[in-house]
Amino acid sequence: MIKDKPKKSKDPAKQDAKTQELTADLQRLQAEFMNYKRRVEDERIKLIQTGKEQAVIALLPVIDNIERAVTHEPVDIKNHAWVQGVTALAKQLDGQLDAIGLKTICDIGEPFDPNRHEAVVMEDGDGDTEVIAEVIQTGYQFGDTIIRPAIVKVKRV
Amino acid sequence: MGKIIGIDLGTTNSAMAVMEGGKPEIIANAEGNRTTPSVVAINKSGERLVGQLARRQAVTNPQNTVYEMKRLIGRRWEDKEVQRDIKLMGYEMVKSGDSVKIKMGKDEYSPEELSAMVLTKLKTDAEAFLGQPVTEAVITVPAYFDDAQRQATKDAGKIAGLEVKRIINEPTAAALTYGLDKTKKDEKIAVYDLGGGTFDISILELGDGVFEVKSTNGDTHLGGADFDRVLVNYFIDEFKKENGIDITDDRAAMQRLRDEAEKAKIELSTTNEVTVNTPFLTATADGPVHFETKLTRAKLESLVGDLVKRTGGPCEKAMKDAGVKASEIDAVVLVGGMTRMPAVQEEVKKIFGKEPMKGVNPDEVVAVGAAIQGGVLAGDVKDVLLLDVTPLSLGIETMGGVSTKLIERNTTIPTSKSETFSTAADNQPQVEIHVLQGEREMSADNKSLGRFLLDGIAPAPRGIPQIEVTFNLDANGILNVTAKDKGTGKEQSITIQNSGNLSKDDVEKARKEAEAHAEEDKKKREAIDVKNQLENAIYQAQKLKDDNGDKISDDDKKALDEAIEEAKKKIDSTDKDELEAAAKELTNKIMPIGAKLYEQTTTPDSDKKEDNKTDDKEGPVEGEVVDDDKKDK
Repeated sequence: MIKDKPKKSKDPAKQDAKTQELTADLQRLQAEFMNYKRRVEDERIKLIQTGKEQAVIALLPVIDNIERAVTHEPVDIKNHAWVQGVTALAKQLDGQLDAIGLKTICDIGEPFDPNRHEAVVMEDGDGDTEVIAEVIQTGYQFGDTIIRPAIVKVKRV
Repeated sequence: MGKIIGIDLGTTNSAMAVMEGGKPEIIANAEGNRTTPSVVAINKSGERLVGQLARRQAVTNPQNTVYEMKRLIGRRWEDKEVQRDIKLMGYEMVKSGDSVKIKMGKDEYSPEELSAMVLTKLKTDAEAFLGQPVTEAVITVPAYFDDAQRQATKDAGKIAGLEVKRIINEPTAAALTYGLDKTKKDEKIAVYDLGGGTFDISILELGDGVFEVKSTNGDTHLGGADFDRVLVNYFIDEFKKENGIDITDDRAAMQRLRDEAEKAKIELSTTNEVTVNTPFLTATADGPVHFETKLTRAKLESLVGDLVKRTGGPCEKAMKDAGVKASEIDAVVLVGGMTRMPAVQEEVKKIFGKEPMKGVNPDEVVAVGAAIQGGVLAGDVKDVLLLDVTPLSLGIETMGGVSTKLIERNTTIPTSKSETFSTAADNQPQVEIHVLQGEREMSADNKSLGRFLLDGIAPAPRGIPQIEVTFNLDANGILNVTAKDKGTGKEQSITIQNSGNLSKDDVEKARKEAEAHAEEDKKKREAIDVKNQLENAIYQAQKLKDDNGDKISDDDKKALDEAIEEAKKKIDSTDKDELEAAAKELTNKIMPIGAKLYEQTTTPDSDKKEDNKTDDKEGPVEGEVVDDDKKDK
């Protein structure tokens, strides 16, 4: 006796659905890949800039302290050649940083702008305009990118 | 269908992630940060600020800067949490029906509307990141959120223009990130979440791939900020002991100490000692005063020990409520930045008696889990779509028995790669394509997968015919290799069924062997490269003589013959230096003769490619690379 082989069901509707699903998956993956490529390219360009920024960010604490050292220049040895040398050195550092495109944010008297400033102290006043009363820590920017906002005291005038 | 993003809408910070190519990826915001402060504000000019910008202006505008609205969302005015927060928050809350509204600028907003402002920023930034509209999201909430709080969170999404496909519990999201839903058996999982401002412990039970929250506990006001505060106070005391100065009124100095405290805390998670160095911290009439102190991990741990211990009680209670013993917990997951601290991890180990799961950034683990859930809902996460990689490199044998790789190991498949090769001898009628698998430099050391001949190549000087070899590896690991003579259009191919059919051990063995022989293989390969150089020099010398027989003086011909003979004697040497010297010597001898030729001929010879290498072997010879600039050698 021969037993009929069970026929494989080849439901065309099912096949169609599967094809559609796979095509959709493929399209999505392709679109995702194109977007991914574009983003990686953008990131690559950004990365070159970021590399520079990261190096400067790592040095900022030292730059801050050199700035502080010069600000605290002792009056009694002001004319000592060594002190003058250190002051010149700080100036030279400023020049070099400026040359690589690093600019300081030190906007005393300018209107407060949270894009550039981080307020930590508020001095109340009568006016409506918020301006920078004091820069507690200098901020830095590379071109248009703020790498560290200035930490400031704000007052109303 | 677009992407479904996963959002961890946190009390202090929020994060978002998305599935890309089957893997979750954190989405950076417009400022380039991987987390966004959950803070919104309206400034004097009526402009709305969200995230970092809102936080930076908070002290100038405390009445119109709203933070931690997650503590209020979905709550009723009478709730004791709301009543307590009225006193703690810097902004004004008003009763609106049963619920809470917050005054900001001229208007009053519900916590949903304020959360929606954060979500809107996340949505916009995600769209910029992905380059496509984002309309759907999975948002996480604490496990203890009730229906009203969940509904309010969903509404916040709707206001922000997001269809919230699902609200999932934060501990569940963290467990998903670690793939705990994939384990076959039923498991009990503890999720320990110590973040910036809150501590949550959840006990989950997994059954049939579904997580059930058995119990939750925690401390709504315990987190990283408390740890920082303890450390800053220690610095203040130390400074006072050393210099007799109370620095707490010096805002600038305090700011620096806070920054230093956070930095030291983070560094001490990976090192045992840090030096806190803050020169010119302040100034007195006598001049500047510096602060320098050494801080060990042990000291930090003794300072914050009480804070760490405070997490123990809620854990015990949670286990008691869930009716489980510590020994019955199968896995412990860490969430929140503070869980990076070794002392916290030790405490967790002590409480649950087992090593917690680490590896995923604890600040991002919840957002990643939400993205995975989003991927499942979008149909992105399908086991059948998991892509494989080729475990070993695939290539062909080239001149001198060297293996030239076309597809490097670990390349994601399906993939294909083409490269153009050429003949190694004049009038060579055929090339043999020998397909190899493995990491070694010499073809003899690699596994031979098969070989075939491509014949009928039109007679031409070596290096002129262009044979394009294409490797096509499909998703099943089936490799098809085709060689095509671009001149005649003739082609041959071979299909190798089981190029990827290797056990893990085989792959590891092959990789280890390649590593062990790397140095020796490199030397062998270098020797062959130099030998090829010498053969090339001999070929050029011979060609110079044959092509210009009538233009070269007899003396020069004799000199050339002698030089060629001399070089041929060295060809079988295995000494790299000797081969190199011989090639250089021969080249030096050809040059003046060649120069003379150029002086004689006013019209230069055709610009035939002559910079190829010679080979006096007969019969089929392995291909030689034509476009040298595409390859190292």
